Amino acid sequence: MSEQRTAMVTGARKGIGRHLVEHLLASGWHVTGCSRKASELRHDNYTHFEADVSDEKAAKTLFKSIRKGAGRLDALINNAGIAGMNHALLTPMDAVERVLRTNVMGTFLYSREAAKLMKRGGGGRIVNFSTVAVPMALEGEAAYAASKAAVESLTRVLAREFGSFGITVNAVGPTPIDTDLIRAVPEDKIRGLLSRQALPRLGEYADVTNVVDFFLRPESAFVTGQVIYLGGVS
Amino acid sequence: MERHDLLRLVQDTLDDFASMMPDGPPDTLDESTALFGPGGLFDSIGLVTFLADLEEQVNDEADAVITVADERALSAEKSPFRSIASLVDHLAARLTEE
Repeated sequence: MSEQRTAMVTGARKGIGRHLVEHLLASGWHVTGCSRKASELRHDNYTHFEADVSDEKAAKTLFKSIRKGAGRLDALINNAGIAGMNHALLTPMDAVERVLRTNVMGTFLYSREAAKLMKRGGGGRIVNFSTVAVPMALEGEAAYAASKAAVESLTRVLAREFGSFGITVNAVGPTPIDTDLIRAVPEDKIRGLLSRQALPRLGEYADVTNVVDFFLRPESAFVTGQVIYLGGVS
Repeated sequence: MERHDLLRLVQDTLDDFASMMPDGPPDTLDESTALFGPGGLFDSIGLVTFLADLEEQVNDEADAVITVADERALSAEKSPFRSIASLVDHLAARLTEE
């Protein structure tokens, strides 16, 4: 078994996922990332898989590769996510299904497979991604907010189911961040949303990294089943 | 993997789980040994943990990616997890389908 701490990041090719990968690599972790497309990132401690997070067979193959390689998994960051912003009356069902498959089923599947590996090593950390759209009940984001509400529920239940294995499960709920995910959202809608936050600004990658770092710290072993929202949203 | 290889793998994995058996490990582990239910080796969390571990062992040894607790197994009238024999049969069937 490798002596190096090992993390898995989903949705690792760009945006927050890519930033988290680079942050973990800089902190001395070995990182396995996945996304539907190839990554341009090259690093001695980085391995990338092209996989859809809702594909069970691909997930099992990926985790088997980690088990046979590093032989351990210390952290899973379930970052992969799809946003769907549309009025419910104009939202096609295939769009709803895509959002649920990636955000809910992907989080469930990767958490399940990661926990199997983590329990062998005596524990681990799972960090899920929610959004302030859940507590804000944002109009136009019915499918997306519902999928992330499910992620929060998963976070709380899995925290209980995996607790006896020494695995913590928590979630971070970012505000809008300037990524591809919100690029299609009208500017006035973003402004209106920010005005409802206690701290009315767009989030930055570093804000998310800070919360993820907190959940990953050894001292956070007694913190589980929690959702931390950024921007003063509650 | 042949059936006798699967039987050995199940027995070896059970040996590693002796500490999770509420009544302690039995003197012998043969095909009729009950895993769950009346007189079974495990309680529910013990069985879950054992099956998760066994799945990894099978997939590693057979170079496969089967799911032990799949939809059919969970909805079967007679659980494939009730005894060592039924579990081995279940694993053999899934590997054949792979």
